[in-house]
Amino acid sequence: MYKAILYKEWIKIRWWVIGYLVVMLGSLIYIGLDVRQWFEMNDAISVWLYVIQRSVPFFKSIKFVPILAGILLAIIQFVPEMVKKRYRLTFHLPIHENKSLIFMSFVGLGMIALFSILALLGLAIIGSIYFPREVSVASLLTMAPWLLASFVAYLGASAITVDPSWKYRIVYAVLLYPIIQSLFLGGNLGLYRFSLIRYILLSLIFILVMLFPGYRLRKGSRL
Amino acid sequence: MIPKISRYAIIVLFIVALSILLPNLYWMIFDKPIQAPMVFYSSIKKDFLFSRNRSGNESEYFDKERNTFDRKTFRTFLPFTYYGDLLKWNILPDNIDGVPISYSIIRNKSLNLSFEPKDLNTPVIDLYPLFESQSEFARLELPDELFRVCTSLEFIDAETNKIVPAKSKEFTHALSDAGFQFPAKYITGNPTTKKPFDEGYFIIDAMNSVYHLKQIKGQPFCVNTGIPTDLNIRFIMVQENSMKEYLGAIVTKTNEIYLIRYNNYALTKLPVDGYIADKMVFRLQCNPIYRMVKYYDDKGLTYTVMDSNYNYIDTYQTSWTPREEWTSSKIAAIVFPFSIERTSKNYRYIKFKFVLNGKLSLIGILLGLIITYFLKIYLYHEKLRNNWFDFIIVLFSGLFGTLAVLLIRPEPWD
Repeated sequence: MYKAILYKEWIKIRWWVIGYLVVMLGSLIYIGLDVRQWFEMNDAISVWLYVIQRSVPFFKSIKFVPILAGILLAIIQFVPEMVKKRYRLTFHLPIHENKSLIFMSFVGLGMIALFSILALLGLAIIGSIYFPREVSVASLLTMAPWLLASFVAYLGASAITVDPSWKYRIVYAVLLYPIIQSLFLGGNLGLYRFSLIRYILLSLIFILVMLFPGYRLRKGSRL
Repeated sequence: MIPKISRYAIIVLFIVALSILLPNLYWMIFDKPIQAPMVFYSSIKKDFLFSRNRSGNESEYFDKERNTFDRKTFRTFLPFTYYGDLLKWNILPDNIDGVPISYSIIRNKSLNLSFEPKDLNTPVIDLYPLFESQSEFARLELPDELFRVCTSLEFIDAETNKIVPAKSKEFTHALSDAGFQFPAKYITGNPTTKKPFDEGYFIIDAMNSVYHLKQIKGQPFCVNTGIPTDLNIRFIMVQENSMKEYLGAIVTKTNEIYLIRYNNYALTKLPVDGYIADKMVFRLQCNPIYRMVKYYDDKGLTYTVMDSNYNYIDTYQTSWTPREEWTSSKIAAIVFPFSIERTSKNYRYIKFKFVLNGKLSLIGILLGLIITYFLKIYLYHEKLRNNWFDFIIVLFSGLFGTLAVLLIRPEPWD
C-alpha cells in the first residue's frame, strides 16, 4: 500500500524534484562562480577578512530558495488532493487516514531533507575550496536555520492547504509567520549558534500539525 | 486521540507565535526613549555638568545645583570636549592648572576606549592577520595569511588556502619556547590596518597565562606578560593608540576592569563598582588632565573622574525609572504572562528565550481562566470535561492560551 502511495506522490512531485534540482545546482554553481569572482577581483586576504570580520555569508543568494521550494512542494502535493475532494478516496484505502497523511508528509519531508543535504554538501565543498575550515563550519551553521525554515514552511503550508476552513488557514498563517521570521533574523555567520537546537525542537512540533486538519477534513468540519 | 494531540500541538505553536508577535506590537506602540542626561566633567569648574535633550531639538545645560547655562557658556566649561569651538572663538586657554593646552596637545592626548555588551556576546571566527609591527613603511599592510592557534600556531595562506609549514613551525616554536601551553583558550587583537601602529595579539594559553605575540621584521616576538593567571579574564580589548599609556583593557568574569600598561603589562584596576559586563556600556575617556570612566545601562549611570595617574577624584551616580517600573510595563506583565525574546541589544546572537513577566501576570492568567470558562459554557456550549486540558494550557499561558483555545476549538472527537 505504501508503495502505491509513494508512486502516487512521485507522480505529483517529479517535476518539482527536477525543477528544484536544477535550481539548487544552479544556485550552488552561481555561488561557486560568485566566490571565485571575489577572489579574482580582490586580494584573497581581503576577501577572507571581509567574510570573517563582517561575518558575511558567501551564499546569501540561496537564502530563500529552500523555503520557497518547501512551500511549493506543499502546494504541489496537497492541492491536487483537495481539488474535487479527491483526498476522500484515501478514506476507502485499507490504511488509516492518519497513517497515509503522515506518510505523504514524510515523503515531502524526505525530499526536502535530501535537498538540504545537497545544499550543505555543496556549500561545504565551495567553503573548503576557498576558505579555512572555521569559515566553512560557521557557514553550514548559518545555512541551517534557512534549511530548517523549508521544513517548517512545508508542514505549515500543507496544513493550510488541507484544512477545509478559512478561519483555520488564517490561524496557521499567523502561527507560521513569526516562527519562520525567527529563522531569518540574522544574515551573519554564526548567529544561531546557541539557539539553533531550540528552533529545531520547536520545529519538530510542526510534524504533528497536519493531523488536526486531516481529521477536520474527514469529518467535514466547518467550525 | 492523535487529532487531539495535533490540536494541542497547534495551540502550543499558536501561543509561541502570539508571545512573539503581540509583545512586539505592544512595544512598537508604547516604547519610548529613556531621557537620560549626558554627564561631563568640567576641567574649569572642577565639577560635573549635564545636558539633557528636551522636546524637539532644544537641550538644557546645567550643573549639580541646577544652575542652567546657555549652550555657548556650557561649552567654554568643557575645553577638552569642545576645543574646536573654543579655538574658533579664540578662547581656548593656553593652560589649565599649569598643564599647557593647545589644539595639538588635546588631539594627541585625548582618547576613548569603549565597549558594550554586544562586543562580548558576538560570534567570532578565530582567524587573525599578524601584521608586521616594525615595517619600514608608514602604513600597516595586510599580510598574505591568517593564523589560528589550536594545538599549534598555523598560518593559512589566503591565496592557496593551505597551511604555510615553515612560518607555522617557527611561530609555534617561539610560543613554546616562551612557555606557552597549547591549546589556546582566547585570542584577541585589533585586526585592522586603520591604527597608528601594531601591537599584535594577546593569547591566553591552556594554563591561563597571557602571552603577547607580535611579528617584528618577520620574526616572532613572544613573551609571557605575567598577568595573573587567576584573573578570570573574559574579554580583552586591544587598542593601539599614540598616547602609549596602555595597550588595552581586560574585563574579568567578575566584572572588574583593568588597563594593561603599555611598557610592562602592569595592570591598573579601574574603579567600576556595580559594573555589569552583560548589561552596561563602558567608556574610558582620557584628556590631558583627567581620566574618566563611565558605565551605564537603561537603569542608571556612574561617572568617575581620576587624575592622569588614575587616582580617584570624584564620582557621580544617577538613576532613573527602569523600564520594568513603567506603567506600560506593568500592563504588559498583566496581559502577557511571558514573551519570547529573539534579539537583544546586549547580545548579537539570535535567541529563543522565554522571559517571564513576574507576579503581575497571575492577574492575566486568572482573567484568562474566567473568560475561557464563560465563553466555553455560554457561547460555545462545550462539554468542559472532554477538554479540561484547555484550562491547563490557559493556566500556563494566560490570555495567549485563552485566545488559542477559543480560536482553535475542540472537534466532536471520535
